[in-house]
Amino acid sequence: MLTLRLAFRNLLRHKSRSLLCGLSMMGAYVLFSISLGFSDGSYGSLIRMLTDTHSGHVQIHSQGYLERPSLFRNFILYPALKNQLTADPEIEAWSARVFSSALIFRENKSTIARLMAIDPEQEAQVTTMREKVQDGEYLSEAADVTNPILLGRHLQKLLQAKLGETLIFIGQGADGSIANDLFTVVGIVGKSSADAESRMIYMTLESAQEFLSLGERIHEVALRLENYSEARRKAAYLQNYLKAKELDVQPWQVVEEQFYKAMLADQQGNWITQAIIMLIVGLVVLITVLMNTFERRHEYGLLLALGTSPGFIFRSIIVEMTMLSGLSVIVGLFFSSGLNWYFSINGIAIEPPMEYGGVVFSAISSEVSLFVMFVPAGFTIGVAFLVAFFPAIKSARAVPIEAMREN
Amino acid sequence: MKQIFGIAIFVFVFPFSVPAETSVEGLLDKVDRLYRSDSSHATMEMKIVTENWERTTVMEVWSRGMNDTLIKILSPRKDKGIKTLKLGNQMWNYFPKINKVLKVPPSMMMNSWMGSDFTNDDLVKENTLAEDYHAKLEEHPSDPNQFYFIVLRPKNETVTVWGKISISIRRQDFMPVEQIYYNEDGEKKRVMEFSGIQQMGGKMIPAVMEMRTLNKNSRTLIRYKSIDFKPVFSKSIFSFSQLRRK
Repeated sequence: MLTLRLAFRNLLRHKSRSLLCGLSMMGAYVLFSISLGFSDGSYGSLIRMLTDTHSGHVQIHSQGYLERPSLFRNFILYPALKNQLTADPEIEAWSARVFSSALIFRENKSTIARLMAIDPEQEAQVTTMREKVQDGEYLSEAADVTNPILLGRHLQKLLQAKLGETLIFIGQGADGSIANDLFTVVGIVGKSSADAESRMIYMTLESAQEFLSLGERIHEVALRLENYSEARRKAAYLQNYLKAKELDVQPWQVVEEQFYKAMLADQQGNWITQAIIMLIVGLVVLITVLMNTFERRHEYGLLLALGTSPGFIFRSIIVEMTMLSGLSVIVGLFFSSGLNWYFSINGIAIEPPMEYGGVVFSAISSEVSLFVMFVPAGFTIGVAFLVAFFPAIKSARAVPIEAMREN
Repeated sequence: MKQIFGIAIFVFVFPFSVPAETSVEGLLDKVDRLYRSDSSHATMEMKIVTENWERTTVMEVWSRGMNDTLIKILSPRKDKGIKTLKLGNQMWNYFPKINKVLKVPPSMMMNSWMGSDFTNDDLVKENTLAEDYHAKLEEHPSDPNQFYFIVLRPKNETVTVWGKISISIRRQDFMPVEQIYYNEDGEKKRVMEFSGIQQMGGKMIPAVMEMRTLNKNSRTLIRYKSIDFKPVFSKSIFSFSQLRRK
């Protein structure tokens, strides 16, 4: 207790020196915290971008569909399963989907396009589908139109189709028949031809099931959870709960395996950057501690000459440096949390946007989390504690007369 | 098939009649005469069974001479009115729901016709077996006393995916029993079996044909419900203008 009191008193005794050392340590902590915040925040926003715009957090398919998607690998979403998904408090929303492809004709132009069928209202609760509409109206707002579709920007340019025009679709039905029908363009999706959705055609579930002779069968159910980090646990729980061997429940990490692997590889590389930042933080703390103790060699020599035990000198230096770093981190917490919070909301725009694992990334943002706050805090205090050993031992073992001559 | 797709396939597949002589040429020639008349009109049922789905279609088929065939789907309701027109070695499909005629391009000739185990190529080339293949009469591998066995191998200039086609014909009435398609490695790929031999339209014909695609585990069963070898219809039905008419 005496050591603590003396250490605290020492810090107050030389306010300007303590302030300078504290600011150095705080700066190092804030730098590390913001660096981690941006790292985690960027991956987090990437994941949210992916799951919010397309995949959802968990998906249910027929067994084998993920490995080899096929029109015929479908299943019926029975009322019991619907009720289970709706009643589950951890599932914010779910949406059934159908996928296929078709040959599209408009006058003398034609192309092959990928089709995605959705329940417009349910899908809008799982993904940002409604916000993807750039011109025209969303599927649910075109209730008076027979077979409404949202046409991707790229396809619209290719076919030179306009809103309200009818396109001819020809594909394969799930009963082996030749699927053929007319569909009306009610909206255009995608801001540019580069957007993933600009090569897609979206239609209602009912239209697709009729067109493809699927009856009530679907290919996919996408679930939105409260937090994407719960996806693995929830998928495992649902797989076990459903007890349906023909169904396969997987988190976004499996559904978007390519993206996830790219992200993990990138995270590995990112740790090199973090290690360099940690090294910088460590050096700053080391220099600060050395400066703080060696500047006071004369004082320690005097204390030793007056009979203070070397052990006490050693302890007081360790405690003083640890206390100084702790106080610096506490003050730094406010700055780092504030900055991380600000950048988590506003982000920093990337111009031009870059594509990452199939997802267009237009801004980097930070994140406020316990990890981002306390890992740098622990590291800063830990480094201060460890590097204080060297000057503490040196000061404790100093010959008083020699130490007093140094100033 | 001359008349209908079914008949067409049948004929294409075999040209069998009651030959007085048993040379390959004689067998093929007689078969041609048996199934080919100036025109025909038939109704048939086609049942397709695959690993993933099963579907039954009822069709009406008109044919004229060797080259012209029109097939119209009567049911199921979803496909009602879809037509296939074959003129010579070209094919078109008409879809009434979208009021569009689509020509079947050469690249799609080996694709399935209406999801069946028959290909578009089967329909188009039914009358060219004798021209495109070298035919040889061989001893039937299992029962030479009961069956003739014709082996067809493609001529050098013939464009085909089949390395060999074998046809088994009953000696007693010259009715085809089985036709097997092999790839270029000699592997059996498709088997067509004939059964239900009966009097229809004044002739004895196998009323049932079953085509099985071995590596897909699927089969297509065609059953003639009626056939008329002396029908009365306008020649203009084999035209584009008529194709779009209901």
